Amino acid sequence: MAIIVNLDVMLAIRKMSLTELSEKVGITMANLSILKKGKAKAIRFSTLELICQTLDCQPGDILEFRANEND
Amino acid sequence: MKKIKQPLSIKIIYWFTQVTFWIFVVVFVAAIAINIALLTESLGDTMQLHSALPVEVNYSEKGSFSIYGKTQEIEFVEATGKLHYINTNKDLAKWFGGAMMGVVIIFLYIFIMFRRFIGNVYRGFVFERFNIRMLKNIAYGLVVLWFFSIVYSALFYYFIAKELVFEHLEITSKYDSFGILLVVALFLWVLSHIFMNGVGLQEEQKLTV
Repeated sequence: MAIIVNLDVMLAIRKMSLTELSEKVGITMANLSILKKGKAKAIRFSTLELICQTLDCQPGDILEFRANEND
Repeated sequence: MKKIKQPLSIKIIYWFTQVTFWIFVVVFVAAIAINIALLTESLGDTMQLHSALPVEVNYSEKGSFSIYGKTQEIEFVEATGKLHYINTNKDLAKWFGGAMMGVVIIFLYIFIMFRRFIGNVYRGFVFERFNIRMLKNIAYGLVVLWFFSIVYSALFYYFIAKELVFEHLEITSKYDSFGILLVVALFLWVLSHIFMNGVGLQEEQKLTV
């Protein structure tokens, strides 16, 4: 997919585990895992807001567009 | 897994399908038994076969009935009917046995597909890829049944109905086109495409975080 999810990078920078993020944001581990693996087809603004708030970052730090990236 | 509470209509259709399916399985087994008996010629020489006449019959007789205190004159003009083959010819019986087997097999296939489809819906699996396949298979089964019925009617007309001689009846060449089968098949095919869209939407919804 052309949109790359850098959630694992941000988690590493903030030294936070996925479980911890899941507890703080209130999103299930299964859903966060879908997002982290780049399998998600869409992300709600509310989810993005919560993740950005918890990780103290911008949406652009989590999502990245790469022009020639395919499946 | 979380138990899904189904509406009453789905429950009724599910259980009705279950019961009728097993009744149909009995019919299928009976059809096989009759065909074996026909092929081995073990039904004796006095078989009394009945078959539907797939063409219309012209018959003219005047009559009347009373309504609102007045007599209404009528004329009977057209009918469909059944034939009784007195002491049925064995070769003819085999021919009919084969046709019956064909219809029963197609019906059984459609029934199996429908039973699976309803079973999936009953268990809460509605917008699933295997349901699309079932719907398409039912539609194809109906098209095959339509084709079979048309061929059967045409053969029946050319080999039997055309040769029938009666004193007061005139056998016509008007036989049913079984168009309703094609309409239902087309409807199911369209429905399968709607389901395809539903599957896409459900997958997208599942993968929305």
